Amino acid sequence: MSTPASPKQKDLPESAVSELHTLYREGAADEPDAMLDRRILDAARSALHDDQTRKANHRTSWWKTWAKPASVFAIMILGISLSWNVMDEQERAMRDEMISAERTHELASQAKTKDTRTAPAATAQAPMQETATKDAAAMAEKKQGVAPQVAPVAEPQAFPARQDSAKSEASATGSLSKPSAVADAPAEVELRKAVAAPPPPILAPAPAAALAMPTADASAERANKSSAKRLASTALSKESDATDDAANPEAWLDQIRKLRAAGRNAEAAQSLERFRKRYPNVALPDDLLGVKAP
Amino acid sequence: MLAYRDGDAAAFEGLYARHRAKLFRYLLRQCGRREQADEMFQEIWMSVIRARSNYEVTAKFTTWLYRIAHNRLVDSYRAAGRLAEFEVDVLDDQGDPPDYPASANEQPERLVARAQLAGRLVAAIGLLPTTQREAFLLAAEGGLTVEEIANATACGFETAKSRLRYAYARLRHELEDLR
Repeated sequence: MSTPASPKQKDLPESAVSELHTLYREGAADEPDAMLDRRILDAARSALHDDQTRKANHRTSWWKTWAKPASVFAIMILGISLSWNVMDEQERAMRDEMISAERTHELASQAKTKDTRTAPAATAQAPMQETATKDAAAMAEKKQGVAPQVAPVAEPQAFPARQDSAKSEASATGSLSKPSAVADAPAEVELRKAVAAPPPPILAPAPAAALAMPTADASAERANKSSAKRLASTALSKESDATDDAANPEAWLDQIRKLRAAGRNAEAAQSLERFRKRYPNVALPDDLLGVKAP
Repeated sequence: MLAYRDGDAAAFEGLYARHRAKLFRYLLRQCGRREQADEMFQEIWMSVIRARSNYEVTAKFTTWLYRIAHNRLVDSYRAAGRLAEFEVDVLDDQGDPPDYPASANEQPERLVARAQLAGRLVAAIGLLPTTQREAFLLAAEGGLTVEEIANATACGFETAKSRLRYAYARLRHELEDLR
């Protein structure tokens, strides 16, 4: 409480002011109702109670404030881990592709070196063999580049299998002292031999087996013949499908020739039809002009 | 008020006990009707309760309380179409305040009866212009200084001082007849 105002000079003297105040207070004794007092005091107390309750609620519901950020964080973690997983799978598939392609190249190069070293008769057929090897490499590269997620292991091995079996056959015939006959044989004969050859193991190349057992039992050979044929024909059909996708028209035409030579005229005709659709401007060689669907 | 803000209910009871009667009389003298004074009284204290969380010490609590009361009164005058009474000072019409006669204490023989005089004074306060009455009530009931009155009623120091001086002069003048 401060002292009441006390005007100076013309103002009422301080004693008169205080007298007026005192007189006023004596005359004015009005007060608010007790009920009004109670209402106000109750309101003040309940306001404090509300404050305390609010504070208590705020303290217990801390998790509500963290629920949103936590869920967002969890979703982010989930998304990142999923995408990592998918990327890993893609990388793995690509790595497998590359490994299989490398294996194909290795097999092709091994075949080349063996051809030049052990089988002079086989080298006589070099143009045909080399073309096939190049085809295999080209196909493997193409597959790797165009469709990296498609059957990385099985397909590239189909062609080498045929190749290797052909080589084993060539070496086997060489060991049976018939090099000149093999050298004179046309490409058709070569392919037929490849068909007749036993299926090589996936990891161990066929030439090794063929060199190890040049005088293999004829009956065992015959027993394996049917299954080998089946495998070889599968390999050829796969090869022909793959060749259809080849960007090189010459390789494709070679493949059609091979199909014809193998006696698979229907497939050769179909493949030629596809070739025409794809390369309408390429002039067909004379030997393929007569190919028609049976 | 700070203690009440921090959760001390007893602090509010102390504040209320100290200011309730004075504030109520201030309102009653200013609006004239008890029902209206009751209503305003309650609203003002509710405003105080609501403002607890944001309360900061910028002035004396009494000044702050009477500023709320003054604003509430202005609102009620505005609602009643009597706002001009709060805005117009009637000081100029009256010229300089008259010379004051001697204090009643100096002329005790002229006092008829103190109670009668007090009643007359209260009635005279009711006849004062609104701004002067307010200044007198803030000084007499709230115990505010001129500066605090100026602060509570949002006017200049000199204005508050003049209002107070004229109010005293008028009241003295009214009381002269009884002496």
